[in-house]
Amino acid sequence: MDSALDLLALRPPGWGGNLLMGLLRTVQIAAGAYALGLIIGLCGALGKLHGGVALRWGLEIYTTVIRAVPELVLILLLYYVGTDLLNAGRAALGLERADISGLWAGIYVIGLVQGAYSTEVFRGAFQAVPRGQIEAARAMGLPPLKVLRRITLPIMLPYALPGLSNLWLITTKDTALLAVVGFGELALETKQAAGATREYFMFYMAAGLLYLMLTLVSTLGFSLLERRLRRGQPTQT
Amino acid sequence: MTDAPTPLPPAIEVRDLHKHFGAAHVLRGVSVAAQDGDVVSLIGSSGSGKSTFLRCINMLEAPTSGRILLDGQELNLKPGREGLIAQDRRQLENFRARLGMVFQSFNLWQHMTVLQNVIEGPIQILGLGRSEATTRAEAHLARVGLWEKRDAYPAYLSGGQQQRVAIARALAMDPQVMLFDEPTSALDPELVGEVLKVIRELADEGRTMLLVTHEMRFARDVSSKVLYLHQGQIEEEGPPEQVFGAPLSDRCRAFVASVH
Repeated sequence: MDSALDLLALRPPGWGGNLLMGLLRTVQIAAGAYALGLIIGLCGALGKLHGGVALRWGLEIYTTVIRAVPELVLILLLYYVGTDLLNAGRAALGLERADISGLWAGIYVIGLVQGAYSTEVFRGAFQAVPRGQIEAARAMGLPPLKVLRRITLPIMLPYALPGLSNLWLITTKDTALLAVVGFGELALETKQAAGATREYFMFYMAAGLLYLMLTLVSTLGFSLLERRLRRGQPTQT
Repeated sequence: MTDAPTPLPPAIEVRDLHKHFGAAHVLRGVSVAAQDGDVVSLIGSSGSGKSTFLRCINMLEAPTSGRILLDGQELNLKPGREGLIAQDRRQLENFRARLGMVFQSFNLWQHMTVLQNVIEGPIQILGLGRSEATTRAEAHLARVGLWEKRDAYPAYLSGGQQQRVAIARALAMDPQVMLFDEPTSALDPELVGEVLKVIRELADEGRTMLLVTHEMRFARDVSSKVLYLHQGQIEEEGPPEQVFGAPLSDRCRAFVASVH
């Protein structure tokens, strides 16, 4: 058992360092993809609520298609098709083939998927904002962008937060799907370490614990954030 | 304020306002003018269009036709999807900043403290510094009797307190005209008095106001002019003694009798 635990040492021949690097990449991709997803989601929700007919239909197709297709399929599709399209574009412009960095590809692909879900989370939250409070701001002469920034967004966020915290936890685990395109995040690093040492149980347990820690820290962060954003709202008991 | 002839244009004037909601013609040519210091009350049964009329004045509803003038300056309107809309967003925002609106359901911003609610407009719209806005806001809160609640959130206040904060919030913009949309209709009966007291003080100090209300005795006491609306038209118009005491219209007489 001692020798098995030695395999988790941070320096080679231990594999602990690889696992932690994998965790770091997982967090990087998840954070980047989540941020991209939030931006897409905010714009998507505003577009769905206030946009013209064409925009609303476009967004409806986007959210429907993305949410209908399994994420594994989407990742394979977007990754390979995206790479091909990019290189076709570069070839047309007379540029060399580009090597797509796995990190950025992962962020774009998962971000695009997250965007579809967060569009719906934000749309619901926007609709939960009491209309009268927006009217009070407009009736005072507050310009539309300031109404959004000062009134609508801060009132909307607490309604969105439970859904958004779910999406974050899903994002952290979606990163594991990038193993299929060969990106060395936590799941792939674990698989390699386990395969090389045949200590499957120990390495997958270790990976599981790392995912669990990530979740616990995230949950704590979100509950602090929610308490801050809900200030002014009596808590229901 | 006085009955001496004045060369000034009315503080606020609305001419021949019409509003359709789909097929329903809810306002059929309503005109109102108020001089500085006038308190004009709009009464009438629910569905008579009085709230819609008030909401058309600051374009929370898009009128179908009509003209809106503040201090003789006309709001430029153009046809939009659901009625007239402002030609120039800046002019509309300027008009709205000069029209203080108080809503039936208070509509305080729930994520801001009482003080933050009151300083928001002066800082964001009038461009006041935070300390000056705070000093003024505290004075407004003191006059509505809620200075000690300045750090509370709206959810922790009674309806009457929330409405008084809403009045302070409107006052903080130093509006030329205040629009009250049934300010006591959402309140428990025992809380109505504290809000009416504040509105009465504003009337006494010469604030120009348009007041939509179901409080007949109050309207009779504070108004310089009363309009009785019926099915989107002004059925009776005159000083409160006439409208409440000796109305020319039978319908108005019946309405006044029914609510007294």
